[in-house]
Amino acid sequence: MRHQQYKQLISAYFDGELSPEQKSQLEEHLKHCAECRAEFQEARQFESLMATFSLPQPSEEVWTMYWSSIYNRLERRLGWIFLSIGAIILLFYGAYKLVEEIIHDPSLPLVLKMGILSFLGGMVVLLVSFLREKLFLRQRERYKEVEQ
Amino acid sequence: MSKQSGEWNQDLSDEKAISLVKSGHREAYRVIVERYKKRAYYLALSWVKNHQDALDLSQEAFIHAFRKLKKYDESRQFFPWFYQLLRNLCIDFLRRQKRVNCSLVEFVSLKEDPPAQRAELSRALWAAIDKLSGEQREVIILRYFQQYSYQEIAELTNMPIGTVMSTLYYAKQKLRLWLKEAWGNYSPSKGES
Ligand SMILES: [Zn+2]
Repeated sequence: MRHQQYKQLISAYFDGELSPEQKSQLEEHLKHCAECRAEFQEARQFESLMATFSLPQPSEEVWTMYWSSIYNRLERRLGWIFLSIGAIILLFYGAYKLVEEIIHDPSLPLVLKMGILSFLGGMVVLLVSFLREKLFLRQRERYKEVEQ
Repeated sequence: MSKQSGEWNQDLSDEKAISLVKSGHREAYRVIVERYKKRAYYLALSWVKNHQDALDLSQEAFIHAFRKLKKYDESRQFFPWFYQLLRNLCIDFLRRQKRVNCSLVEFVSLKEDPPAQRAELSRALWAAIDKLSGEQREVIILRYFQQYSYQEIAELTNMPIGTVMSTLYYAKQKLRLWLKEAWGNYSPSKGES
């Protein structure tokens, strides 16, 4: 084994991951190698420094609210889904009625009819495209990545 | 609608709790969430590096997991499976994120008022961890702040154990180097020779 590999063993030693054989192998090497002994000292210093750090704790409130926040989000999302479905149905029904009325109104000039229909058609296309992007594509894309 | 705590025994095993959830007892999911919320949060933090996003994403991951529970194979351990979801959400989030990358350093607030020296050292350490690659930061956080074994880290990250060992080694080498640059001899209070 080369020094480089012993240095990895030293790192693993401080992680408590060496088998008894690896440990004695390392100890044997340390007896003869000043370079690795120096590495061992430095590694020890580093480990004792790391042991004094901890991640900062968020407030206790964050933890007590954690579950209810998840529960609420689950519930709210269900609410949104129903709301969106309802809104879409109402919108399409309204648009349909409007189109019907415009077509059958003899007092409106043809150009105006076409303008309004084209305007409404454009709105529907944009709405559908927007919803598709927001709801479906993004979700699916996310899941695809998640499922890898 | 939401039942209060104590509805399900905290000691319920993951398997039991999940099969309860699958059979329609949504509140049993709380056992899982309470058990893993801190780990989930800190792991998300190692990726997104700020409190609010880490909180959001960890909760989002629990919601995703809840939805996918039907597909979850109970012979697998829950947390590694969950962590894959969480990690992908975080990576995905980072890819989408448009604002300037924030730094772990901004997040550091020390509990007790430490001596100025120590606060400075702490900043140096977080700045160094911040500079690591995603994978290196992940193993450092798992090893030092979650106290995971190589075996557990390997399960969570899908790395072979040998890779865990070498990734940690190189990450530590970098941290040591950067700390030295930032701090000179990085052990102000402890007179270790
Ligand atoms: Zn050597």
